[in-house]
Amino acid sequence: MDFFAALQLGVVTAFQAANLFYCFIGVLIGTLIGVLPGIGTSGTVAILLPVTFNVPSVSAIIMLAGIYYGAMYGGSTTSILVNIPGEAASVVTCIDGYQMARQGKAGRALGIAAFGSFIAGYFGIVMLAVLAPSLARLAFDFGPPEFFSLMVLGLTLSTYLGSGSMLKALMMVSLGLIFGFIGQDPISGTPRITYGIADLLSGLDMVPVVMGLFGISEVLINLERAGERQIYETKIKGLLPNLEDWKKSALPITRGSLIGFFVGVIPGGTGVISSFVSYAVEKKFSRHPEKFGTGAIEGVAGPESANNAATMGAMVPLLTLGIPSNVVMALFLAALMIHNTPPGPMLIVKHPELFWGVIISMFVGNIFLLVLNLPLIGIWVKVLKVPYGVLFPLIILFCLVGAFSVSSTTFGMLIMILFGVLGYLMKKYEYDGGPLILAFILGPMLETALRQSLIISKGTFEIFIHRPISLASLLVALVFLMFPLIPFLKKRNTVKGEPA
Amino acid sequence: MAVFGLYIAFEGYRLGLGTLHKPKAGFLVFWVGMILASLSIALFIKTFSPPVGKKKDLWKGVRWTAGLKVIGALLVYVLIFKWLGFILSTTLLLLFLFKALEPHRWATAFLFSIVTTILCYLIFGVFLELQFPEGVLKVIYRQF
Repeated sequence: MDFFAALQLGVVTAFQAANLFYCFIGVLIGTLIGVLPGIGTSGTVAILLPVTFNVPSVSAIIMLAGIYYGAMYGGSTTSILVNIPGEAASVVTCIDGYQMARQGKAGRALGIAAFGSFIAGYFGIVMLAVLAPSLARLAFDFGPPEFFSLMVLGLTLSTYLGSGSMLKALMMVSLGLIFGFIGQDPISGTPRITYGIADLLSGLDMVPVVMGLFGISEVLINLERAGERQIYETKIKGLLPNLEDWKKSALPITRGSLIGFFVGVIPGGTGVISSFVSYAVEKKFSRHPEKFGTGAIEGVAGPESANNAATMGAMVPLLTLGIPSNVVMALFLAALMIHNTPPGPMLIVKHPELFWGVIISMFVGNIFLLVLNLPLIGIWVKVLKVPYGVLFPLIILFCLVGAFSVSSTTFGMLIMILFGVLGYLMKKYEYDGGPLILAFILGPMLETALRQSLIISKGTFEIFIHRPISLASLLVALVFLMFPLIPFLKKRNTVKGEPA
Repeated sequence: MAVFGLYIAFEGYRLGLGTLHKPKAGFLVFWVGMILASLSIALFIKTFSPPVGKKKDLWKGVRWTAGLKVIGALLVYVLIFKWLGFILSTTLLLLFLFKALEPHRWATAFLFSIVTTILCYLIFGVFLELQFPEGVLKVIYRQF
């Protein structure tokens, strides 16, 4: 199918009334979730995943995608007005965004965040449309060794997701892999770590695990801290950035878009990482780096653009290779599998209406988001004032319903509660959930790829070295693993009196 | 965590490691268990090094009992869910969450619980056709 025919198919699919409706619902829910601190995108997508069972696959993915990039828009609202990130990827926006609000520039901060996200979103969509088909063609040559090595790279990069130590992150990767082993061995069918429990034979379901680890645990942590959120009570006026704002923000938006998209493409790369990288880059490039932290508009424009572009970039490895690069993409993978449209190199060939329909719907969704996030900002501010004492029972209820709906048994609810407790303890003792979940999801695929590779190579590991993509991925993973050791080795050499 | 890692490694060994040419079900389970145990031991050794910054008490000055109450309520909910049915058990759970943890008035908590439960049932049970258990209300439905 040629490019223009594909685009035409995408337009016809995306502009069907039902798909427009689901796109709107998705971005609306995404914005709401982004605005409300306490439940993240992962938890929301996990809760709504069962809802999509009765919906056509294209509509389901359009809605879930809307939630994903919608949350990035919404997250900036709380960061700027309340100094609490509604989304993890908006943490950096708090630094300068809130300072701008305190200086009476909340409207301009919100405006540049929305416009930056819009421009970056469009850039990301175009790049996705151009890159993905080419990468899918390349991926036809990928075999088990390439998939194994890419997943190892992804898991290594995911250890950089968190704020805790590398050691703890690697432990979480190992724990996630172990949780992924529960159930039947993918090759021989032998039950593993099931203790005769029939419900465990098919393994742990992703939805209750994610809802517990991210949804319930977040509620438990938030309940520890009583007290109201301090919303900066300022009249929000002047949502359109002026010429001066555009002059200052043009390059940060450009750089943020590029950084965000390419970080998002890398397995393990997320909006969080891309926003931090963008902030660091903007501070480096700025002629007045001392202004960062005091209300520099570049500190809002760059990171907000980056986190939105990253959502588009994240779809590339999922749709072309079938490898989810973060937790939300893993849930998308689950949605695609449930709808019998497995992602990978064949997706664009066998289901072009899904791929191109989702791409075009994202163009439409970004327009919806600009309308939702600028003129309707007053409504979102009111939503922010809903007391947490009213919100958290609703969050818990949605989590319970979601967990039940996966298998129509209470076993899913029980798993969710157990992982909720685990997630809470992990948060208290500074162990990150991101690497655990990614390892849990990638584990079975990684194991299958490893065992297939060893069977092909007749038991030698040379197969991973002889294939260039596999070798490159493993080398990059090794570099990232060794990186934290460099300061330690330098310190040791200095203490010994040798040149560092 | 080290003990858990060693236990998982033992489970992997029991399942059978196979050979590199034909790895069995326990191959990766064993090695990941060993990796987890090693990393845990490394972390344990690291705790003996001098701490950076002031050590904070994670449980002081925070309402950790609120979380305990929520977990307790959820476990009870799971136990009574199929017996009482979705509507009754959810109403009771929400009543507890609205009232026991936050200072809402009884009337407000009751109203929120009933309205939320019914809305949830309409959206998920009726519109999205999720099969919620009827529980004891089944007896009442049969009367009509």
